[in-house]
Amino acid sequence: MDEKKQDTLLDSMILELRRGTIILSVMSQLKKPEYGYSLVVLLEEKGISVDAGTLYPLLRRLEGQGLLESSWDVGSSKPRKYYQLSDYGRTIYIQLCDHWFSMIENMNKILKD
Amino acid sequence: MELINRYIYAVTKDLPAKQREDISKELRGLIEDMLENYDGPEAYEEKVKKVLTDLGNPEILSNNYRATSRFLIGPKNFNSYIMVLKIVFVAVFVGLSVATAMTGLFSYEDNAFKIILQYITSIFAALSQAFAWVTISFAIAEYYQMPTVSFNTRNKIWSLDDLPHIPKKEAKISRIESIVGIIFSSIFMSIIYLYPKFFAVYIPTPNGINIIPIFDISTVEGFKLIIAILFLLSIAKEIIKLVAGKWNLKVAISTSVLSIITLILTLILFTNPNIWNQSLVKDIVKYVDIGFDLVKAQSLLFKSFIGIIVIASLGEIVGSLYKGIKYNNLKM
Repeated sequence: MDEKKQDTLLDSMILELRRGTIILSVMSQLKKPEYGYSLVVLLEEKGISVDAGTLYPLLRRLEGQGLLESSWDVGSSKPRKYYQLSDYGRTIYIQLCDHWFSMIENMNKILKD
Repeated sequence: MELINRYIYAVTKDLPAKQREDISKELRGLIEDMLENYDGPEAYEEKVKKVLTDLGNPEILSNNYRATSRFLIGPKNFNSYIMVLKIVFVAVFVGLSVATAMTGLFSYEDNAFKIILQYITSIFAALSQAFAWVTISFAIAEYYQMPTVSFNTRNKIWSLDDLPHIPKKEAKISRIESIVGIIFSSIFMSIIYLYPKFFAVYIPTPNGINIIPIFDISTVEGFKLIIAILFLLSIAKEIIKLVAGKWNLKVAISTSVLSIITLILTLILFTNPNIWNQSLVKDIVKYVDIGFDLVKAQSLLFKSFIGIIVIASLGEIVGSLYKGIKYNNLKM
């Protein structure tokens, strides 16, 4: 297989791996209200880069699923839509974290064998 | 500023109306934030260009906002679509070719060039029609999420009971039969549409062959709509059977309903006295002596003809309902 083809395959597999973690990363940062762009910056600082084009639609979807609540802040010069975990979202988030930790543990075991 | 508006429009134009405003407002905020955080000596216009390029293709963004992918014909139905399309194409092609060959053989007026020209244009028209109708039907099925395959995974928990029974050999609907059906419908349709004079009594006489048309050509012209509907009905019937692949109650009922409509239309067509060539019997008697009084037998012949049509249709309906009930395994 030529190198270029190998690279695109690797890229798409990395993307696939990251896809599942994005939701968890986003939820972890929404215990207090954030707007879309502040979240991009926040995640970037912690070494997780998500492009806005993925994050904004994702926030809306999570809101639609009842995991997030949103409110428009029109007080400041720029109107901004703030998102925050709903009660339901918080319960789900805690359970997801449990799964994550046990998954990581098992994966590490397998990979280090 | 204009570029930003255009970008936002490109993202939101195909989104549901009630989300559009909210998403526009949010996107505008995002773009402004990104501009503010963009350090560099460039002019404002240049920054806008960079930021929008960073955000990427608006179509992708728009797709991300739409939760589900939309298809004209989705992956679930695509296989059946291709199968039906292939079969209909082959059948229409064969049907038209045979019809043209037959009319070409029996027509003494038209020259070969005219026939070939007519053949090519009608092939093109018929294949376009076939493609359009098959695609439209499948697109409607897709739009309303009607599965053309028997597994329905939506709304219910799958259980082992849902596994389809392997159809008994007799329950299978022969593909060949349906294909032959479509071919014959196409042949009949093309002849009556393009060359209704073909249906005639051919009587050899010393001066050449005498052709006495069975139908009144101008009346047939007026009935072309009904004939076209009859054709579509018969094709629809065969397609239902092809897609289902085996008899069950649903297939039996839907094909029977189509058969009943077909029968009614056929009767409307053939019981109309004007559709027959009024001088048919008189002309035949003029040229040949068949030993009995054809004029007297005329109405009896006509009644038997109608009788055969009715009996054949009812036979088909009873037959398919019988198979449908017998092989229906209650999983539809």
